[in-house]
Order: sequence, then structure tokens, then C-alpha cells
Amino acid sequence: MQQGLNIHFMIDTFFVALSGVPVTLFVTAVALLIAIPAGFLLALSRVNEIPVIRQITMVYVSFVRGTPIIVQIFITYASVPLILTALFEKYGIQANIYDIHPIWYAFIVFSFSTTAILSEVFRSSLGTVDRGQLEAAQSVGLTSFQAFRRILIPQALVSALPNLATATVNLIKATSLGYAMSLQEITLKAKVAANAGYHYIEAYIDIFLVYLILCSLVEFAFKWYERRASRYKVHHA
Amino acid sequence: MLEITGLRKSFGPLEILKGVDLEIGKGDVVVILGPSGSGKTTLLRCINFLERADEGNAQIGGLQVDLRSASKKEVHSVRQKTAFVFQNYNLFNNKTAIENVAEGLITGRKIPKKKARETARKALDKVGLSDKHDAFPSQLSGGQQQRVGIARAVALNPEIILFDEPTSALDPELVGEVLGVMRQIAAEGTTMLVVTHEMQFARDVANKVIFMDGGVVVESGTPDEIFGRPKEERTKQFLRRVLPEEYNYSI
Ligand SMILES: Nc1ncnc2c1ncn2[C@@H]1O[C@H](COP(=O)(O)OP(=O)(O)OP(=O)(O)O)[C@@H](O)[C@H]1O
Ligand SMILES: [Mg+2]
Repeated sequence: MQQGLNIHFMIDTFFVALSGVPVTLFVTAVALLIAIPAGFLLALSRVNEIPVIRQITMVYVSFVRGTPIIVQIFITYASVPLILTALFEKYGIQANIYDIHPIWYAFIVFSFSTTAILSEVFRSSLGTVDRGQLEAAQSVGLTSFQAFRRILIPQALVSALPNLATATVNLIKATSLGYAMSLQEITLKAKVAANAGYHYIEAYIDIFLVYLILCSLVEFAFKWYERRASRYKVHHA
Repeated sequence: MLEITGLRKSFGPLEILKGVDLEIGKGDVVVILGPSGSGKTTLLRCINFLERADEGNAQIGGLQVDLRSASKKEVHSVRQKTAFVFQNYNLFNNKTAIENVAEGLITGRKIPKKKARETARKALDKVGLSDKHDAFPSQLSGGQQQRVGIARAVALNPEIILFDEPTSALDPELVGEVLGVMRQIAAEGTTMLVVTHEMQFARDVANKVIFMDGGVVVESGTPDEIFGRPKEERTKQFLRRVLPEEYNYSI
């Protein structure tokens, strides 16, 4: 066996790892598409102090924040099939639970945890919008609903962007835990290649690089969008 | 035009408004004077339902409402008939000057966009901001922002505009431009209820001055009556404090 890094293997495996990017991004995108509206609704329920929903949200958020994602994955992976089996039996549906693609579990786990995190992000961003904005909107004849839709929510979303970027990057990184559910994403693919070729360091460096590039691109995109969206904040009076 | 009777409001154990009555006719410019904490802001906010009164009735442009128990619909109609100019402007930060003015027309009143923008443009021109239509509030000086705030109120063509210390957040050199706009719209016959500490404005523009203290109307009358021949001791004391150069010697 040769000394040092096997560059050839590293380059090959880099592309193997890269081939996991679509799955990583797909899971991230689905989780965000579910979590952004859901998180926002929960945030609104907390800001507007809607009873019951507000308390449930608080418990849910502290559950997600207080447990590692890997544990949430284990729980989901173990319990969802049991629940489904029971349901399928009850309604006489013929389907094999174990044929369910792991990506569905990933959708569930990551939507669930991201919704909780984004509900906190949006809650604090709604808090940054001055109360006077709502009053001014009401005073010109907007209903509260219209005031939220036209004035408060657009401003809250802009101030949420930096935290939304962080949450997205964290989500991308967290999907690497999908390997525990045999999700064919970046980490799993590179690890399989590493196992086959016995070149672990090379594979880990590849994984490292792929995530670094991916996350940097996402951060860059958010920064760019934030600059555009917060045009109204620029000060040159 | 606007008639308030028996308005009461407490915050917790503290009674801020202790039964306020008020009458304003069409085209009147009424100035409310009073020391800090006397309940002037609270009075305006209760009229516009930004605060719920504990008791009291209002008649606004022919609409009779209970200030304590008005329904959502009644609140909405009162707000359609009134406009509010805030001490700290409260322009919509995410909207340009012209969008700020048009928002209430388009979303609140369902006026077609094109027509609303035309009305907004005219209102901005009137307050001397024809070159700032597309500026965001963050790009405007305080005086310009408050003029947008006035344009936003004027464009709604309300029965009455409520002003809460419209110039007190401004740098002194910017106060004049805002008072100038207010004089102008007063001269055009706009009904205005103005809380201010600008005594000269009260004297020149108001046809009625109300002095409030401790949650009640202590005295009201023409500017000449209030400034020239105040009857109540509390009014005299207040004027001595805000107009020392005149009252130290003449009373
Ligand atoms: N939302 C509130 N909660 C509790 N107390 C309040 C609230 N709003 C006003 N107050 C109190 O009510 C009193 C009257 O306030 P208000 O703002 O109406 O006075 P003001 O006459 O407008 O005074 P200023 O000239 O300082 O603006 C003050 O003591 C204030 O602290
Ligand atoms: Mg006040």
C-alpha cells in the first residue's frame, strides 16, 4: 500500500460524494417547503397568544431543541412503521411497510425538527417589527389580517433571513445523519466508497469539501438575497 | 362632526382619562394642550380604537359608536372616517413614499391601483415631496417622513385627522416645514384635532384650544380666551411654564 493520500481515489470519491448532493438538497428543500409555512403559522399563534396551540408549540419546540436529531431519527425510524402497520391493519390496506423508501422518513424527521426551529426564528423576527407599524396600518383602514400580510410579515421575513440562512445550513449538515436511515446522501455514498477502497481519510476529506462548498454557496445565495430584499433599509438620507 | 362624551380609560389601577367630553365641528382645527402624562395621547388613541376605552361614546361623521364595546365592523368604519398622524411617523418601512400613501386606499378601501396612485401622487405633491415618491422612509429626513405621514392621512380624505405631537420627534430646524404643511391643509378646510406643544401654531391656526390636565378637560375656548384670559389656575400655571417670557411679567 502506498504512503500518503491516494489522490486518484480521492478524486473519484469526490464525485461519488457529489452524486449524493441531489438527495441532500431534495430533503433540505422539502423540509424547508413544509417548515417555512408551518413554522410561520406556529410563530403567529405564539405572537398572537392563541390558546392551546401556543402551549403545544412551546412543548414541541422544547422537545426538538432538547433532543439530538439522531435520536429523533431513531424514534421516527422505529415508531412510524409500527404506527403505519397498525393503521394499515385497521383499514385493511395491503402494503409492505418495509418497502417505504427511507427518503420519506427523512422528510418526516427533518420537516418536524426544522418547523420547530423556524417557528422560533419567525417568532423573534416578528418581534423585531415595531408595534407602530401595526397601528399605522390599522389607522389607514387595514384589517389586522391585511396589516400582517402587507406590512408586518414582509418585514419580519427580511429580518428572519440571516437566521433562516443559519437554519438552512444546519439542516443541510443535519441531513448527513440520514445515513442512519440508509438515505443515499453525500455522507453515506462517500462512506460506502471508503469502505470498499479502505481509504477513509480521503473519503472524509471529500465529504468535508462537498459540505463546505454546498454550505458556502447557500450562505452566499442568502446574503445576496438579503441585500436585495432589505433594500428599503439602506440609509442615505 | 366629532363628538366624544364621557370618555374614561384606566391602565391597571391608574385612571388616565376621567370622563372627557369633546366637540369638534366640520372644518375646525382644535388644539389640545396639556402637561406630559395628562392623557392627550390616550384620548386620541381611544378615538381611533388603538386603545379600548372603559366607557364613553363617540359620534363621528354621523356614525354613533360605543367606544368600549364597538364591534369589529364599527371599529373599521370609524377608522375609515379618521386618520392618524403619529409622533414618530410610523411610516411603513418596507414601502416607498408613494406606496405608503396609496396602501390605505388600495388595500383598505379597495380603490383601483391606478386611481389610488394618482391620489397618492397628488397628496405627496401637496406636502412638497414631488421628488421623493420612490424614496423609502429610511432615505428621508424626519421632516420629510412626517410630511409623508400627513400625505398618507390627507389622501384618505377622512372626516377628521388626529395629530399626536407631529413635530416633537423632529430636529428643531425641521419643525417649520411640517407645521407649514399643517397650516396649509388647515386652510383648505380639513378638520383637525391636534395635540402639540407648538404654542404659536395653536394661536395662529386653531379656532379652539382645549387644556387638559390629570385626565380631564380643564378649560376650553378660543385661542384668545385660553392664551389671553385663562380662567383656571391650572391653565395659568401651565402657560406660565410653557410661555415664561410673557406670563412672568403680565400676570
Ligand atoms: N399602554 C399603557 N399602559 C400603561 N400605562 C400607560 C399606557 N399608555 C399610557 N400610559 C400612561 O398613561 C398616562 C398618560 O399617558 P399619555 O401618553 O396619554 O399622556 P400624554 O398627555 O400624551 O403625555 P405626553 O405629553 O408625554 O405625550 C401616562 O402616565 C402613561 O404612563
Ligand atoms: Mg403623548
